[in-house]
Formats: sequence, structure tokens, C-alpha cells
Amino acid sequence: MIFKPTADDYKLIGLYTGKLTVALGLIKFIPAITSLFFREWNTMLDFLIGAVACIALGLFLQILCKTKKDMDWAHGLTVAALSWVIAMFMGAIPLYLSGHFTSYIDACFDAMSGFATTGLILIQDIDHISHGLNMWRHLTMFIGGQGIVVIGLTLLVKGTAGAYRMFVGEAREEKILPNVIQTARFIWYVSLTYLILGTLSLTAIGIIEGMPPLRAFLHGIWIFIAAFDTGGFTPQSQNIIYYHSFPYEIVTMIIMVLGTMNFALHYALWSGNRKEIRKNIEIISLVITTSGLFAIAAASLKASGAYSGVASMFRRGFYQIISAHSGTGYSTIYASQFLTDWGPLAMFAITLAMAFGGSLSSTAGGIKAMRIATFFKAVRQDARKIMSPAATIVIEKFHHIKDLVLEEKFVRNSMIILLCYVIMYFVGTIAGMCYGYPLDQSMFESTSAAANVGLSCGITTPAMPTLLKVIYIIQMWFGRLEFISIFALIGFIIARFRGK
Amino acid sequence: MKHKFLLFTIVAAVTLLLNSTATCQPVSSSSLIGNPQVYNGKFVEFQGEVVGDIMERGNNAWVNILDNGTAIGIWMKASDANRIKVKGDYSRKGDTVIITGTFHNACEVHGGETDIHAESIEIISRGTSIDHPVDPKKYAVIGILAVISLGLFLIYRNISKPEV
Repeated sequence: MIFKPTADDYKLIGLYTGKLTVALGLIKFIPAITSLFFREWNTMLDFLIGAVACIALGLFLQILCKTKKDMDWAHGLTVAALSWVIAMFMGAIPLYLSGHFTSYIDACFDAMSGFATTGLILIQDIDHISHGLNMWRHLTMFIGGQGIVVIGLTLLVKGTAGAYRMFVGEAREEKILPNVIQTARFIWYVSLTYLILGTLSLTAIGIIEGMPPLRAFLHGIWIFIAAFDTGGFTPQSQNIIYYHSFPYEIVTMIIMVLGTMNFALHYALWSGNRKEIRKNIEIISLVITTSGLFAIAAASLKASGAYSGVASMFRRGFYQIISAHSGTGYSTIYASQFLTDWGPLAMFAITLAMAFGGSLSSTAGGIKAMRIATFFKAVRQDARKIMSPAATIVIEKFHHIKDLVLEEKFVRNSMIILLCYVIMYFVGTIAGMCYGYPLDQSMFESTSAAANVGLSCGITTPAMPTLLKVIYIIQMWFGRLEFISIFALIGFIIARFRGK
Repeated sequence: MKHKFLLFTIVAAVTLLLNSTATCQPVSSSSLIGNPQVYNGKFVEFQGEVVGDIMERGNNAWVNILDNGTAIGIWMKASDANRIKVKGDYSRKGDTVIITGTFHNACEVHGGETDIHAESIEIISRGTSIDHPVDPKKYAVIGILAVISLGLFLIYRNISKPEV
């Protein structure tokens, strides 16, 4: 029997969604101050409108939904799912007011792409946008990468059992430290430390490569944010090609890899457990799939003759594979060159890299290395069972922070999510094909959206059909939150009508 | 025989001139990138707006030229790059230039990058500042939203007071 939600259930969801909306409004003062600094008055006003609108809506929801009810799992997950939708609509306000979007849906697309750390863009004339707008675009990736709820937990929400339930709703399954607030703060601590180191490195390279110091710093901080949060936005239209710099490519690759690592693994390494990097199942899985897919891409690139030298082929090929696998979407080739130069097999390797994704409890999207490894472990366990005498108990083990036994429940949960991703990739592919795009391109773009990568082979443009934009927005949302919290939201809506 | 040779020379010269004019029409960035089989390794003319930074590397420099939404990196002499005065950004439209040089779809010198190695640069027009006039309605919207937020905040603070 489905229980019909009571008024208090709705109020609780509204209350916490309101708190997170206020937090979003407060963050918008950062780009407003950036615009003030650079005397971009129009942009500053756009962000003040966006900030005050968020604060007004957040306060209204909190007044309207005042309740003392405790949060359970369904509430926490629903708040997480709903917050992202509200963040998209409210985050799109300054984007749309900038005049760089042809419609509000395009602004919403880029807002969701930012929050979901995807990196697909519909913004126009990106080479002439303001510093404030660039700050906001990249901040959306930081907010989304860290998690809207993580920010809320850190800034506004007091430590409650419900906090953990919202936290899980953002696809962060691991409580790295015993307390969820401590976990959220550890995530911030790691991220801010890397932010300083990464920004300094990129700034130094930028200056050495000929950029003025202030612009090198701004580009450094933005590129770091979008790389570490595996997002993929850049301040210029040429993506990473703009810098014409091998050191810049190397550093962004390192940041992308750091961004795709599980925060639990970061914690182990930060705690001095360096051996973990060699034993961790996710790292082993990532190394195997990255090597295999790069070998496929390299073979295809060699056959197509896209690059006459091995060094060029390695530099371009490996960068796109790392970018795709980490879910970042940074690119050192033009979108159309996937079609003209790379060929179907290399494109397929990139598509698979995007589909597989990074680690659990990181900012990466996709199926995730743990689930890929679980799939193969489960297949091996079943094969061993078949080969063994009937009474034999076959145990499959793996190492993730500690030695673990592969349990049926874990395999089941992993395979459900894996299947959901495959279905979502498939649905987006069919949608693209319905609009006349070829299979390989439809699959590439759909996987990029659903796995929150952001590489494009050219389908994502302002001229693409509106319904396809909406489908990609939904894919980005589902992909970032990994389904469960959105299923909870849908369940809540169904219970409203069918519950008793 | 002498007349025939002269006629042949004139025809050949005119044909060459016409052909060279045809290949030196500015090619769009999308054409260059989308048709590597046609343009790779060819001498091309490319026109667009200078955007972003001029990044000097020794005696040379990278300049990014924007044409119809797609920018291409141009590798040129630093002395040529120094002739560029205005670079496009939020507040300025950059200098419009015509570049003639060799297009590389995957340049071996630059790690497989798509670029043009410029032989010459001509500045067609100087960049200008871009005005962003403030819409007065935005002040009104902020004012109204701020008053609403303040009112809501006072109500929120009132109802959030601990019950005695």
C-alpha cells in the first residue's frame, strides 16, 4: 500500500528546499562582486536580481512550510532531487539576463549543465562574455560538483539525521567520516586545498605562456574548478585549444584525474595510506578501461591517419580519453573533428569512456568504475560457481579502503544503477535519431549528456530541437543524481494521487 | 611562333592569377575545420576578429582569431602580433584582421593542433569598445525584490523565535 503524503511531508520538503535556495542566492553575490570589481554594471545587476530572487523564494518557502517534522529517507532524497530543479531555474536567471542566450530554455540548459558538471553549452558569443558571468558559469560547476546539499549542509543546515539522507540523495553514498557534516567539511577541505594548488599552477603556466597575470589567474581558477569538478566549462570558445600549451594540458589532465577519484580514496591518501592507490578496485578498474580504450582509439587514429606523428596522436588521443573517462569534457580538438578526423571506432572508444565514467563519491558521472568492476567480479564469481562442485561456497573479494566481500545486495544495487544508465543512454540515442541524427553521433551526444561529460560531436547547438534540449537536461539531472533521489521525487508525486 | 608563345604566356599568366585569387578568398573557420581534405597544408586567407590574449612564445606568438563563432589559433611572428592593438572581450570588439598562411589540420610542429602558420597579417579595421547600457528596469526589479525579501525575512525571524 502507498501512503498518501500529509501536509507536513510537503512542508518538510519545502522547508529544506527553501534553505538550499537561500544558500544559492547568497553564492550569487560572488559573481556580483566580481562584476563590481571589473565595473561590469549590467552583469552585476543581473546577479543581484538573481540573488535577491533566490533569497525571496527561499524565505517564502521556509515561512510557508514551517514544520517540526523529522526527515526520513524519502524526504531527504526528494529534497535533493527538487533542489536541483529549482537551482536550474533560479541559476538560469542571470544567464538569461546576460543576453547570450536565445531562450530561457537555453539558459536552463547551461545552468543544469553547470550544476550537473556536464559542460555541454548553448551559450552564444562566449568570447565576449563578462568576467562576472564566467565566474558564475564556473561556480555552478563548483556548486554542483561539491553538491548543492553539501553546500547547504556546510552553510545553513544544522546536523541532523536528515542531513545524511539529503547527502545520499546527491549520489554521495560514502560517509567518509562518522558525521555527515564532518564529511561535507572534509570534501570542502580537500577541494579548497586543491583549488589553491591547482589555481597557482595554472596561473604560473598561463603567465609563462604569455597571458597577463590577472587573466592568467582568472583562467587558472576557472579552469581548475571545471577540471576538478569534472565539469568542462571554459572561458573561451576554443576550450583548452585556446592556450596552445602542452604544460596546460598536462596540469588539467592531472586535475581531471584528481577530480574523478573517490573522496574516500582522497581521505585514505591524505591520512598517509599511500598503498591504497595500488590496491583500490576503482583505480585498478580505471587504469584497465583507460588503457584498453586508449589502445582502441590509438589504433583507429593510426588507421585513419589523422595524426602523422606518434607524439601528436598520443597527445590528442590520450587527452580526449582522460577527459571523457573522468567525465570532464575538456577538449583539445574541435567538435566536428570527431567526425572528420577520428572516425567511428575512435568515437566509439570515447563514447565508451564517457559511459563508464569515474569513481563513486567523486564529481564524475557515468556508470562508475566500481560498478564496472562489480559487474566483472560478479560474472567471475558466477563462472567459478558453475565450475565448482555444488556444495562449494565461492567468495569474491575486492579492496576499497578495506577488504570487502562481494555481496548479492551490493551486486544487485550496482547492476540496477548500471542498467538505468544504459537505458538512459539508449533513450537519448533514440531521441537523437528521431530528429535525424546518425546513430553514432546520437549515441555520442546522449552518453555525453547522461554521463555528465560535455564532449560534443556537434549536435548540441542553440539550433537543435527544443525537445532534444529538454531530454538532455533531464539526462544531465538523472545522471548527476544517479536516479534514486529522482525516483523518490516521482514516487512522492505518484503517492499524492494514488496513495491512501 | 613568337606570337603564339606570347599568347600562351598571357593566357597562362591570367589563368594563374585567376586561380591564385580564387584560393586567396577568405575561407571560413567552419570550412577549414570541416574540410581538412581540401585545406590541409594549403595556403589560405582567413579573416576574423582577434579575441582573448596574444600569447608571445619567443620570437613568435599565438593569436586566436574568431570567425562566425569558431576561433582558430594563428602562429605568427611576435612583431606581426604587436601590430594588433585591440583584443576582443566583454567590453571591446577586437581588431579585424586578414591572415594569409598555411592551414594545418593537425600541425606536427604543435602537437597535432589545428592552426594556421601566418605569412602575413593585414589589419582591416581597428577594434572598438562595446557599450553595455544599463536597463533602468533592472534597478526597479532589484528594489521590488529587495523590499519583498526584507519583509519575508522579518516574518521569518518572527516565526522562528523560540517559543517561551
